[in-house]
Order: sequence, then C-alpha cells, then structure tokens
Amino acid sequence: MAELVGPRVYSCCHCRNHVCLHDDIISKAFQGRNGHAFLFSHAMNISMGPKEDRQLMTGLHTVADIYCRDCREVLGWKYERAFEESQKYKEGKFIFEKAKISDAIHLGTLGRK
Amino acid sequence: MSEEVQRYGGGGGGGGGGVAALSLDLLGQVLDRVREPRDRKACRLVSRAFARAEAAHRRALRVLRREPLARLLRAFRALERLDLSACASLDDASLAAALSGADLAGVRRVCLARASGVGWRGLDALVAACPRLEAVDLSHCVGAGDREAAALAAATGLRELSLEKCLGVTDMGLAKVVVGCPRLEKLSLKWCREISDIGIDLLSKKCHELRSLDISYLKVGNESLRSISSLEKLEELAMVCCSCIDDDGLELLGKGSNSLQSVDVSRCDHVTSQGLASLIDGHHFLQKLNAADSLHEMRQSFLSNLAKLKDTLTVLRLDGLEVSSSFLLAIGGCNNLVEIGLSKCNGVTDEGISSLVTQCSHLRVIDLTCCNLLTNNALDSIAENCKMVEHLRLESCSSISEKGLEQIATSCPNLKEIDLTDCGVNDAALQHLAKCSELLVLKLGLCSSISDKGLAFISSSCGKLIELDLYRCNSITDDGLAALANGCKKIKMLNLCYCNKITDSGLGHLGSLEELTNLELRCLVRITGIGISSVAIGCKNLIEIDLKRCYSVDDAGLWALARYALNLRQLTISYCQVTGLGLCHLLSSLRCLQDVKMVHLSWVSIEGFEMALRAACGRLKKLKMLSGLKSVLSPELLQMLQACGCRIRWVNKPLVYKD
Repeated sequence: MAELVGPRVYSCCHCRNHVCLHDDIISKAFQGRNGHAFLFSHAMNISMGPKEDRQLMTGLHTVADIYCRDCREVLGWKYERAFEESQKYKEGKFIFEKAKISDAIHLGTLGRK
Repeated sequence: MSEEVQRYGGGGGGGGGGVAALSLDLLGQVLDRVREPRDRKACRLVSRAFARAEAAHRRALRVLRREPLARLLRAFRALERLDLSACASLDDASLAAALSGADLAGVRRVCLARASGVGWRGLDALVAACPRLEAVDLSHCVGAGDREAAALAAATGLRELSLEKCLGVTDMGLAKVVVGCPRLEKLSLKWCREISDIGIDLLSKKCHELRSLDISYLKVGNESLRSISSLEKLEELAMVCCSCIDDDGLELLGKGSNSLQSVDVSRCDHVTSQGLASLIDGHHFLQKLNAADSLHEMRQSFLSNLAKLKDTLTVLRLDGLEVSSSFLLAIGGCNNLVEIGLSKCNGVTDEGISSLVTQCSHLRVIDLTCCNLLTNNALDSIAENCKMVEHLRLESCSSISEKGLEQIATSCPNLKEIDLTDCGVNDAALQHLAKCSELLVLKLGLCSSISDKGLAFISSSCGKLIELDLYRCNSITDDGLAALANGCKKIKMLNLCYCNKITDSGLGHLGSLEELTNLELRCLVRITGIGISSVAIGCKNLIEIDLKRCYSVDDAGLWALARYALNLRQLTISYCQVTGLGLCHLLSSLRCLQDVKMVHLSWVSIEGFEMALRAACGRLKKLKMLSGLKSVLSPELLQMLQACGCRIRWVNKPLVYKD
C-alpha cells in the first residue's frame, strides 16, 4: 500500500497541504501549545515567523513559529537554538502539534506507533 | 426411543435419565442455544453424544490451523459460515484437498481475509464445492488478481464480495465478476487501484441489484460517478480519498436515480461544500454523510440544503473543517442526529456545542477530538441534553476536568466508550467515571496524573471493561495492575507502554486476565522473562504482544512465549536482548505467528536471523527489520519469503536508547 501511494505523509489539517513525513519523526513525546506534539527532522511547504526567545518546559529556547504556506495556520515551531547542552539535539528540528496535522491518506491513531 | 438411549448408555451419560434420554436432534437444538464459544467448547467435551449433537448442528466454523481442516469440514455437515482468515499457512493444495472430501452444500459465507497463500486454484475448488456460496471475503489478499477474480466469477449466486486490497485486480477481473455474478448486492474494491472508469461503467451496467459499493482510494473520476448514478438500488457509496472526483462528479450523482442513504467522501481533496450541496439536492433521504478531512470551508448553499435532511440525517462527520457557533447552531437543526464528528475542527466552542446539543438529544456518538477550546461547560451541556450518549471522544480537550466528567458520569448511564487521551485528567475524574458501569472502552493515554488510586476506582465497578489505554501513564505501578486484574476480568486490550514503574510482579497479576488478546508493553525496562512467563501462561488467548524497548527481556522471555503463547499472531521484540537461539526457537514453535517486528536485535547474528526466518518461512506474512540486513541475508531466503507471501519492511532507524 505504501509502495503504491508513496511515503506516509501528514498534511495541514485545514487545507490538506503536505507538511511532513512519518519517517522524519524523531519523537512522539512532546508537548505543544495545546497538547500532544511531535518532533520532526524535516518540514515542507511551511513558512516561518520571526525568531523569539521562549521559556519552554525544557528550558529557554530560541524558536520560530511555523505556518502552513497556503492557509497560514500555525502548525508548531522550529527550534533555532537551545541554551542547555542536553537540549541541543533539537536545534534545526520542527515541532508539529497533533491537533494541526492529519494523516493525508492512511487512517491510523496519530501519535501511537 | 430405547434404541437411542442405548446408543449413549455406554458413553459419558452414565446410563441415567435426564440428558441422556434426549434424541440427538433435541440435544443439538439445546446446544444451539449455547452462545459463548468457550461454553460450546465445554459442551463438546462432555461426552461423545454431546460432541456428535453439536457437530450435527454447528453452523459456523473458524479454523486456526491447516492440519485439521479436512477432518473438521467432514465432521460438520450443517456449516453455513466458514472463517479461514486465521488459518495459518493455508494454501491452494491443502484447501482443495480439504474441500474435496466434505459435503458443503449449506455453506453460504466464506472468509479468506489475509489468506495470502490461497490463489485461483483454491478458489476454483471453493466455488465448485459450495454451490450456495453467497458471500466471499478475499480482503487483504494482496497478491490476488484477475485470475482469482475469474475463479470467483463462477459463483453465480454471489451477493457479497470484498476484494479490498486485492491489488492485482484490474478492469478485466472486475468485468469477469460482474458478468458472472449479476446478483451482486455488496461490493468492495477499496484500494484496487488498477481499476478505472471503464470497469466501474461495466459494473453499473451489469449489477443492477447493487446496494453497497466501496470505491475508496481508487483513481476513478467523475465518469465513474456518472455510471454509478444509474444504479437505482444503490444505498451506500464510499469514496474515501478519491482525489480524481470533484464537485462535477457529485452533481452527476445528485441527478442520478439512486436510493442513496449513506455517502462517504472523506479525504477527497477536490470536493467542496458546493458539490455536497448539489448531492443533497438530489437525495433528500440521506442518513449518513461523511465529509471528514475533505472540506476547506463551508458555503451557505450547503447549510440550506442540509436543512432538507433534517428528518433523515443521523450521521454527520465534518472533521478538519473550520466552523463557527452559528454553523453548529444550523447543524443542530437536524434533530435526529445520532453521530456527530468534529475532530480537529477549528472554532468549536462551548457556545457552539451547547446550541448543537440542545437540539439533538438523540446523539449517541460525539467526536470532539482536539477541540481544545472546550471546557467543562460543554460537558455540562452534553450531560444535560444527550443522556443517551454512548461514545464520547475528547482527546486533547485539555481544559476539561473532573467537574465536567462528574456531570457526564451522573447523567449518561449508557456511556460505553470515553477517550480522554491527553486531557490531563486525574484520579478524581476516574472516581466519577466509575459510576459508568456499562463502560467498555476507556482511553487515558498521556494522562500522567492517573495513579493506582484512580485505577482502583475503575476496577471496583467497571466490570465490563474490554479495552484500557494507559499509554504513558507513568505513575501506574504493579498495585494498579493488581486492582485491574481483580475487577476488570473481561479486559481484552491493554496498553501499558512507557508505564516504566511496572515490574514482573505487575505482569504476574495480568496473568489472571484470561480474556486478554492484545498487550502493549513498550519500554517497560524493568520487566524480564519472568513477567513474560506469567502473562504467557495465564493469558491463553494472547494474539498480540509488543515488547519494543523492553531492554531486560532476553531469551527467557522468548522461551516462555514459545512454550505457552500458542495463539500468538503478532509480536514486536525490537531492541530486546535476545539471541539467535531464542529467536530461532520462538519462530519455529509458534505456528500461528505471522507478523514479527524485530529491529535492532543487536545480539542476534546473521546466522541466527537466517535460521530463525527459515524455520518460519511458510507462516510469516509481515516482517520489519533493519535495512542493513537486506544485503547480508541470503537472497535465496529473501526470495523464499516473498514467494510464501511475506512482505518485508526495511527500516533505517538509528540505534538510540530511550527511557
């Protein structure tokens, strides 16, 4: 099935624009603004907001909000800089909030396996 | 009469009166009323008389292994329904052989879902042996193609056919089926992406009795809808993710002469509310409309047309849509709604929900996943107005709390399923939910404040619970599992992933859950083979277990599974500390094991993998392994696996330890 329709892709849940790939998931154990969120290594079809320093649960970070390029819906943010050594692995990676993305083709419990 | 008594006199009856005096036929009718499969099994074992009576009346059979198939088919002569979907390593030769000796004149329904070893030869034999065949399920036989379809076309009385995920079926195969089976009423072609508008056109011309059609995920376009619109008896049409269909197609459908009651256009990229409006225009008796994840915005034309359905519409799914309170108020005009889906809809507020539910008191299924603006006020409205609610989905509604849930629990006694994943609920909430004694499904994933105390509340009165999800509820300990094992004896599905305080002692308690079928234990770093043994010995119905990242589980755990978990079909042991010896023993012992995920088994050598995979070659259907192995495993082995219908997923995951 996957071989027929291409890689498993997630889309912006409001305009269905493809924004990230399942294979790029690094972690499913993140907290976004409103709930469960995932860390992805790559993102596509997004535009970025201005950089700002934010105090998150894991410490101070420089982040930039990411928007769906078509409908401007805020989908999460990108980690530009982490100030603690243990959090450096997040730099350059993207947070997508579960509530903002949906499985483009496959049905499935988003956020489990 | 005395002859009949004599027949069982020497058997198990002990020669007394009572049951032994019943004729075979009467006894059979009595046993017919025994519903529970386990009870029926117990009855069969009472005496030969009981076994004969049950056999003579038995109407449904589900076979798990290939070896006894022939004998079973000969023993049960009243069979109507045959389920071979779980029959490990069933192939054409054994199927044909088993069918040849049996009298299957009564068989009407056969299920061969996922029976990847069965091809056209087996199907030929099946159709020949079962002249009254009415329904065949061939779904997920991904290798099935036109030759298999042609075999089924010989079953002229066929009314129901599922070819879902039969990836090889093309317009040719479909043509054979529609010509050979003109009485088709229900057909699924989901995922058969080789099928085009031509095939659908022929289908529409030949199968006039068609009532239910599934063309989901196909690349068919508006022309197919033009053809379909001529099917007068069509009631149910599913077109999930048909990206070539757009509003023009829906307009054609709207003008058609169908008797449509249920339409599913979820995930159709090019459908807009305009198209739906024209569809509704032509079909004022629509009962179910699923437009989840397809619409971007809502036009007034749709809302005005929706009002025409106010008496008949029972199911409406609009997941992923941007909504407003006035929109929800307008939807509420469909007073007979039983199911509403607003998952991931932006703009769902307490006010909107209130205006919806005050008009729709018959709601039984309410999906508000990710409607994070909702507070306890919304729950209060639901509790006040929808007292019949059975399924309530509130995943990621983080502003609700135990106060709102108290209202729900008090006012909605029929609650069967509640999803509170990522809601941050606490033990007090569970104390209230314990009032819902009809609860079957409880999802508490990511609720880290849930503790053993909360589980104790649930265990004390939700005795009917079948499914419990405690994904990442990391405050749960062995004591919570003890309470669970005591109070919720009917549990079948249990998710304890990342509840890392759990030890072998906790698993010991799970051993008393005899109904357990699916168990997920990801990243339980303290459990060892001892805990696995307890589960394997006690949970005799276990068919799936997930042990990914259970770093302390070694060969001892695999030995236990190999020895006791004889019904196991699906296993994940990625990152476990197992060696080639344990793996080989496991794969050669478990005859029903079909799906194994084993990524990063760092202690298994290449020879270990080779031997283990060869041992289970004919049985395995799905494998997940590290892509590095693709080049080191012998090509002959990989070819053999593929020939036996096994699909391998190669993954490139870095070796990372988590806790």
